Amino acid sequence: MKLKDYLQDKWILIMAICLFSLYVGVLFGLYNVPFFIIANYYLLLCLLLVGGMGYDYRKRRRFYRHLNQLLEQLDEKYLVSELIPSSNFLEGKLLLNTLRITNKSMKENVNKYAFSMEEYKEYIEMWIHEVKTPLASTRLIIENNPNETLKSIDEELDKLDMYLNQILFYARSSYVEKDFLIKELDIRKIVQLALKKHVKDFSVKKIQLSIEDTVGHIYSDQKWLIFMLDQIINNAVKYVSHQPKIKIYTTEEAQSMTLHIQDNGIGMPSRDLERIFEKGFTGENGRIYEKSTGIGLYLCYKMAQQLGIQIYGRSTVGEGTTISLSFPVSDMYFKEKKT
Amino acid sequence: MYKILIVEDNEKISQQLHTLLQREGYHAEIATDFQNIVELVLNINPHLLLLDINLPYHDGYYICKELRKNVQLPIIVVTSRETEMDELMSMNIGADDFVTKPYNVNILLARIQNLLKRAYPQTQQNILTYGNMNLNINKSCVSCQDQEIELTKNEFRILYFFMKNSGKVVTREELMTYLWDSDVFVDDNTLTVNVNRLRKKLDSVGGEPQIKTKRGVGYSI
Repeated sequence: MKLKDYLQDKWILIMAICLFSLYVGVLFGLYNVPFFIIANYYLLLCLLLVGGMGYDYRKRRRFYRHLNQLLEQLDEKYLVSELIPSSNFLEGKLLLNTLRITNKSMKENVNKYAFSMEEYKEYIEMWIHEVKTPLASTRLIIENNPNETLKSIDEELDKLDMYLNQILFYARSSYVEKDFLIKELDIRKIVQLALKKHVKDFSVKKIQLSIEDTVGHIYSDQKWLIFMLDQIINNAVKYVSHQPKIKIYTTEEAQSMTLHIQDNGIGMPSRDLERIFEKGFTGENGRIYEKSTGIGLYLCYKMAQQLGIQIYGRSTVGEGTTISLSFPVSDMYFKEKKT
Repeated sequence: MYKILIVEDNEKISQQLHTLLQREGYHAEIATDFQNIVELVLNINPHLLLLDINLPYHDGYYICKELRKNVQLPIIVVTSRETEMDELMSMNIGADDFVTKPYNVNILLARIQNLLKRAYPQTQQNILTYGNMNLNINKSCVSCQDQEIELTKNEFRILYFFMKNSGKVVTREELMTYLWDSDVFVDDNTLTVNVNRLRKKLDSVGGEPQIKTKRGVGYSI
């Protein structure tokens, strides 16, 4: 609050006092009041006016300055009403009161949405589990009656299954409430489990596979991690070129372990690479080659954030793409997060 | 013959599982009375139990807990819920394994086989015979007449799969799926090399019949 603003705000009061003083001055002149008394009167008036307004100004300035500081320091600005000190002037009290009431009503509103989102998530999870039963029976029917038509239906079911998993993990990763279980995991085992789903691609497209130096233990959630690797491998086998090769290996740093999934596929330009983790981004490759939803890697990124994994990619057009996941090697990360 | 009891309230799934297990050489039975599952299990006395979690009357967790008070038979929990928490829960109440819907049939069969092998070790057959070849599973070597030759892990797996599917044409895809399911991650090239090496080894000991290549399809023995 600047002095100028304050004075502008009080201009009616100041004008009234000035007019009144002018009027008193005229009266003084008419009744021939001695100069000494006039001077005394105006001096006193000025002192009282300046002193009184100055005190009032300083009080308000201190309050609003404090408020502004709090606003600047807080990440969650809406908490400011909980922190404002009580003030001893009317506007301050009114402001505080209004803020508290609006805040409370906003909280109720937010809770209502949080609740309906939670309900929605539960419905989605239930629905997916519901759908998996007919899917399971379909698979068994196919297995029991092997022929070419059913085999081709089975391949479509694989895709359906993958999309269902995407929704499931989309619902799970969107919530603050943690849905995962951190355990010590053998990274090689996890890679193998994720690879198994893609055996058909490796066989049909004759992709050369090398799993080198994939050793070590990390702390993470098995289901989430397999889902993430599933998405990454899915991309690697999708955008293959001639004589396709996929190489999976780890490198170790002081506090972390990094898993690399490297392909020699078509690669992508750097302007696309920057955006691969964005929701709905498909890039040139996604549009030209096969249908892509732009959800897989976005989910990976979101889940990685929750699991404390750093995810990044490197790519050269015509040479291939490497997606890397950097894990914390100790479980300290999760212990710190809890406290 | 192993007896397997299927406890699953979805009729289609239990029927199909029944067909599948019978085809794989097990004696399968389907539970129909879900009110007295525990008594039923004790009466039938199966070698292995396939247990769904979502059941009418009592859920699978309850049944599993009740059964564990009396019997030690291997139990595989089958469910469509699949978080780590659900898995942990199943293990805590005494299930031996956990398979999620929609299951990969090969994985389900492999788990059943493993559990049975672990639970009833003495009854396991360890020599597989086809033509004039005897495949020794424990020693992972093959013998014809008097000659014996050792096989590598990959070669052993491949021959095992061929023998199990003798008379049929095995596609490269099926062979690779089987190998990957048993944690042998060979790619297409390595597969060709391995099959050729196996063929040479079998030739060197005079193994009959030979592995035939069906162009563009796969192999048969």
